[in-house]
Amino acid sequence: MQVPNKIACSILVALVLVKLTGSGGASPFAPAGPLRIVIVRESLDTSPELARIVNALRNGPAAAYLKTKGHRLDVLDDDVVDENGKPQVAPAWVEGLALPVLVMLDGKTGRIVSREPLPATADAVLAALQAKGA
Amino acid sequence: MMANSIRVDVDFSQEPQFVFGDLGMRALDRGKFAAFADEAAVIPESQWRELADAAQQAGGGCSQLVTRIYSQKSEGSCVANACSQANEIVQAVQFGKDRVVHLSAISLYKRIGRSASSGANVGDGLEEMSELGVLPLDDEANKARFPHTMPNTGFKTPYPSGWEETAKQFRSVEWLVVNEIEELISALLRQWPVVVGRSGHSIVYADPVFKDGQLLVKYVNSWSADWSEEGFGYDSRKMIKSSSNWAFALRSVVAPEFQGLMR
Repeated sequence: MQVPNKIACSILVALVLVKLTGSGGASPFAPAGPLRIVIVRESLDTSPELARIVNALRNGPAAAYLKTKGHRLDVLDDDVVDENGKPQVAPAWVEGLALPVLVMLDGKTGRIVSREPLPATADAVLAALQAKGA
Repeated sequence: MMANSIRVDVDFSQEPQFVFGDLGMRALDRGKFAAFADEAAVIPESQWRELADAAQQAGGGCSQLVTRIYSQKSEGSCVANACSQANEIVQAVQFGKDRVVHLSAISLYKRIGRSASSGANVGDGLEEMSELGVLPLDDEANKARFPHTMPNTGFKTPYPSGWEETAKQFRSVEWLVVNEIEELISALLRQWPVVVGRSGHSIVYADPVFKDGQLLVKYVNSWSADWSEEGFGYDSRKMIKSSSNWAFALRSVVAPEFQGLMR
């Protein structure tokens, strides 16, 4: 293949990828390994129902599933910071979505795999993971 | 009082482990912290039983997030133990039970108590937890991981040089002052552990539960897992109401860099 054609093909592939990823930079490919899952919420707005979802994901069969798959779950305030005041929630994770949000990140690269409003139950959260092949 | 053989409304002063430790709140502290009434909504009592039962069926409340029962031994450090326990519970919410870093209560108590048995003021405990934090416990895993650790007891234990750099990774950052039983139960139903003081002792309220139709709160004590029901006790409505005057609900802790959130 001639070099200009190679370049054209690369550009074409890149354009297709941009089209597929859309807003938020989510990858169109199924995750290859364990995920970093982040539930972003405003803790002040935590409802008992949300608290139940988190507790179910931290205990019992749902927690066992996450552990078996090697997924890591964090539940964070949207404005949480580290010890030096650095924000720990990336704006891209929640942009355009109302909290609480379920974000799936590639466990190795941190690239956004998916982001959506938090499902209503822990089982629905697991279903959302499984729908992404996780 | 017994409800189906569990210990309810234990008189702490009659327990062999009791060391007077909770000096309450100073009047001047009361303006320093956000009030539940100003920040959050009360959940109507008509919903408590249904929500509490649902939480228990789904795996429990804050009590299911306790990964360690503290032991203050013979020191009057209950305030520091309770504040540290609350931090660990919220760590479990935020990062998961297997990523909780166990903490050193004495690294907090040394800053808020005058002696091993003086006890401490709750407001001082909250301020120190918020501003400087607390050090990790000196278990083997923590000693390998962090440059500064301390034991859970030992008022005369010196601080390691530079300890502040490690302690700031374990700060409790968002608290709400609770003044009414309705606020306290509403906080627990939201999975916010509540540090309370009663009868000269400080404990952490964890789960509202209903037993034989009666409201109880399950709490975690700091008298080791050998005490009562594996370190837990229960208070009745009357005691909860009494404890809800100037209690503190913890919502959020620092998300330290070592948790690797922003890789």
